[in-house]
Amino acid sequence: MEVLLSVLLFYLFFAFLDQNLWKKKGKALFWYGLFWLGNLGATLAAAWGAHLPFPAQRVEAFLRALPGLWRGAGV
Amino acid sequence: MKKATVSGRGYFSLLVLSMLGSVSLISGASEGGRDTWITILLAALLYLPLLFCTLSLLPGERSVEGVFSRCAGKVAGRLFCLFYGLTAWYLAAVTTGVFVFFLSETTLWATPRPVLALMMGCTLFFMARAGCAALGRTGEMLLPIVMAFVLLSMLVTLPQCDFRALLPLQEKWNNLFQGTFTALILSFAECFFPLIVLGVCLTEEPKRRKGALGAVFLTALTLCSVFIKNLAALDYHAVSSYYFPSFAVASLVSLGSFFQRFEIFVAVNFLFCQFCKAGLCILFAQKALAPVFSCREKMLTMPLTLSAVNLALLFFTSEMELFTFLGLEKYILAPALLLFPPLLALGRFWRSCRASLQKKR
Repeated sequence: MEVLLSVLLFYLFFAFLDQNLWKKKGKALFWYGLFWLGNLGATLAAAWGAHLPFPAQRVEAFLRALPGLWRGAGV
Repeated sequence: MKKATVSGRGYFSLLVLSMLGSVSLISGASEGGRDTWITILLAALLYLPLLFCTLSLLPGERSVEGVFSRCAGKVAGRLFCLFYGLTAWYLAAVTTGVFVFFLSETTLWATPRPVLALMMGCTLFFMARAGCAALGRTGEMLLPIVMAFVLLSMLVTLPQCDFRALLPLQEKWNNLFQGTFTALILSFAECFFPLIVLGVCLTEEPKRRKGALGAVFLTALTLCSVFIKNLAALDYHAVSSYYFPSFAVASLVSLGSFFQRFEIFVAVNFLFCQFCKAGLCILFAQKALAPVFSCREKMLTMPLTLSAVNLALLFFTSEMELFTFLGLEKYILAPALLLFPPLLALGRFWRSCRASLQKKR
């Protein structure tokens, strides 16, 4: 609960600071607002322990496997 | 409209702070082992040609887009802007990740990581929105504080140092070369972004080269001394097991009841450097991406900051994962920081030769 509250307070503060939110109108405001809410959702998801489908560990394993792939291809 | 400018001293200070901020990516377990201090000196020497290449991109330029367009033409210049803007944004996210894990591991154990990341995001937003001129003045103020703390931490650690821990020198040449490559990319070459973003805002153009050379020299000297101090105080086996060895060394120092928790000074230093580095990366990203998306620079500040914070939170799930991934960071950044700057310098040289030939005809 305290995480939710602090994240929401931070985003409220950001909304106050972000002049784009106040100045944009119509479609632009819709898309910008959607991006904003997406960011809020991402932060809340991170607070609940979520991570990307391709986190650092998986990317690292993929990158480390690349030289092996090259050797396998006979390069 | 008056152009935001940065003074020679501000330029020098921010370059030093940014380079000192980059060293956190190396951690205690560098490939150089006991010879990490030698690898830093070698990396500083090897960086000089790359530094001159980067500086040769700047004369006469007043925007980040202009730098790339002059070297590669309008369309390729925009592509370079996009590529380097995204790289700077990614680097800001990695720096935020290191900052968050440092704080949550060392001082604020109970505070949730998203809150720490948002605190950093808030500071980064203000830094990037303030622009080069304000950042330059902040750098001028912070550098003496940071250097004083570094000097103080060295002096108070001296009684606990055993300099025999530095021997034997050059155990394995292969490790020495690998360590030099890591130090070259992660400590010095990452300075590409501050060099460009501050270089286009510098009021005193002749001071560009002098300031950059001085910054590389001072950073190499400082990092070298800090690594020697850590090694002599903890011995190699202990140093290599810590992610933040300077903090570990400072926590061992006892100065009586007058100075308690001396490691706070090291933490403050670390945070100042991280803020400067991440702030300059966000500033670079907004300046590079604004012409690509045809919008004002300040419109991008908040979206870039928030997305960098979220990338840091969602991409790295633990400290161990972060530092394991950072082992590959040098290979990921090598094309952007090692390969393209000389090619861009060659491109600029070739285009200026062609333009002068056409004028003569």
